[in-house]
Amino acid sequence: MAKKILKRLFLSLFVLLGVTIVAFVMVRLGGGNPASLMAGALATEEEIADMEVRMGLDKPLIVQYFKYLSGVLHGDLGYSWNYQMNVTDLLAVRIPQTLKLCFFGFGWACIFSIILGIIAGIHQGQPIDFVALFIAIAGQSMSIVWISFMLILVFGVTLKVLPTQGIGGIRYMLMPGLCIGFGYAANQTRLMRSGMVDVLREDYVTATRARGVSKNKTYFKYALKNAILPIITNIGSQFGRILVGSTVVENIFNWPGMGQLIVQAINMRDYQLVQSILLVSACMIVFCNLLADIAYTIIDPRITFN
Amino acid sequence: MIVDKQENTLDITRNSEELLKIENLSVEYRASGAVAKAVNGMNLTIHQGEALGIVGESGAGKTTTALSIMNLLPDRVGFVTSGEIYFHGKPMSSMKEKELNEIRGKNISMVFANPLTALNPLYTVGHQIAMSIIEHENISKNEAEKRAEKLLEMVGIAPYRAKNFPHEFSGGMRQRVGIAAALACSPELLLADEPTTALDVTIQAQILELMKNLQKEYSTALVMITHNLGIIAELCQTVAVMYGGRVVEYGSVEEVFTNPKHFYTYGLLHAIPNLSGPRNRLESIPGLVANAQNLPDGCKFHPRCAHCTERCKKEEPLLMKVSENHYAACWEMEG
Repeated sequence: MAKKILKRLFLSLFVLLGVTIVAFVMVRLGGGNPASLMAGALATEEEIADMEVRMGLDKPLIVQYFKYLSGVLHGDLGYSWNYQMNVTDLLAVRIPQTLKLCFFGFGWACIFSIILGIIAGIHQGQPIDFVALFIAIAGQSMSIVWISFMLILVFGVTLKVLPTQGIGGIRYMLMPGLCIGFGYAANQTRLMRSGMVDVLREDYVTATRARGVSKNKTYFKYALKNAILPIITNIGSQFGRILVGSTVVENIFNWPGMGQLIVQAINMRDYQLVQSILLVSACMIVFCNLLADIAYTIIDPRITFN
Repeated sequence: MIVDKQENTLDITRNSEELLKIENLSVEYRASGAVAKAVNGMNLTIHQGEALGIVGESGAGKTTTALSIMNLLPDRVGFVTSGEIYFHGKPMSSMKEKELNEIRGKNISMVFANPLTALNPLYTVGHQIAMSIIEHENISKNEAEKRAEKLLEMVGIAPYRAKNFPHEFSGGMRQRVGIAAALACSPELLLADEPTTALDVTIQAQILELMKNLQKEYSTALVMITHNLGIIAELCQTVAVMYGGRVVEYGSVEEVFTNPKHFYTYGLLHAIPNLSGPRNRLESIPGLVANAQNLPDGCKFHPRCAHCTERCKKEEPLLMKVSENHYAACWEMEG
């Protein structure tokens, strides 16, 4: 198992290498000149050229890429000209904020969707099931931006009970966290519900009951373990979606995380910062998928790793 | 003469005590507006240690009867609309869920038709065999799993394999596991719902042999649900032939098979190809099995019966006595 995980991690390196290339190319395809942005609106052409040399943008692309890559391999994620500091130091402050928000959104969404999905699945066709399905479809249909503004309007502006901007205690986290998890919770509720409905139709559930195991124990111990399998895959694969959501939400709620940073970085053509944020995000997603696969192998004996 | 349903006891079983009695049972399945009457006024008595076969085409209500006995009809879909099932003389409909849980697995247990789907893929077979032991007996999990290993050995599987998962077993082995799990608490009644249907013929023979021996060893009453008449002849003393959700013929296997009175039973028996003698065209019962959503009036079999009369179309016959060991529900017998 440990050997297989190592092998998988090794293969992941190629994925991440690919990400560095794609990020490097994409950010340059966006057009614009970081040197002229840095030098200011009144800079002469000479000053801009001077700036380009200072920023290392005068060198061939291939050289720029390998210089960045060798830095990454040495643990240096590059330099942000806009912030005038090392990307590593910058992200060290921003990543925890994003993770805090993501895990909060992820956490409530998982708990909510799994519980609601189980209840709906067990009571298939009954009112509670329709309520759950309604919530799920409504939740999937609502844009994260719209929900954010609605929450701000209701709780921030009208009721004035929650702060709408910045970081602070848990109260600052409530609205952005809710928004991040919303679409995910809706999607996963449906997945959990249909998983439960399918599993409860299985012969082995009837067989378990026929052995004298009570209904609740059958549902929550034996059936649930089967029904939760697609959820584990979903948790692993949808973490990226949460990260994307955090980019939108952080900008709306002025949350100083990685998502807010990347938008500024793109606007300022802060090349190495954009590249490194994408790389770090990719690392997180790869890691989450790996965790999900490991969890899956532990729960389902039919699946072997890889 | 029409017999009282209370007395449809055969000589061969009269001495032993009544274990389970199904009285006038009717079961409906309701789903999205459609109603399927799966069981319609079924009467049957099972005695201690008896091996009873229930035979009939698919859709005759055999499995529904078994699930009704277990009280495990699908929630909000299957409904008992009338009748009662008595276990040791006690009506099961009056029992609380807790009481039923105590009976399930301990007093009555069930072997399912499809061994490939009847075992939970995420639990070891040992755990699944030990499940009912843990539920019903006050012993530790470890001891229960030791017992499970012994049970595995009893059905011919090496005990160390208790740690394996169902996907590591073949179909026949999984059915052995299903049987071991059903016998774990030495039940008084074992319901076997087509236990060999999903298995190939050589494995079928092994499983039947196993069930035959175990039934004797444990002196368990057995209800063998099947559409294979050969299995019944091999394994059972009494047989109930079901059609359209009720018993149309009932009696000792020997009597019913050599001297069938109901035309459905007659048709079933003649639809078996002869392995010896001159080759003849195989007889079959014309038409299709009665549609549970639209059952005919009168005798449920009349649209397919060559001897149908006006009376058959209007009135439904009850079980009538043919001899001490034989009952059939057909107007023809009244002459």
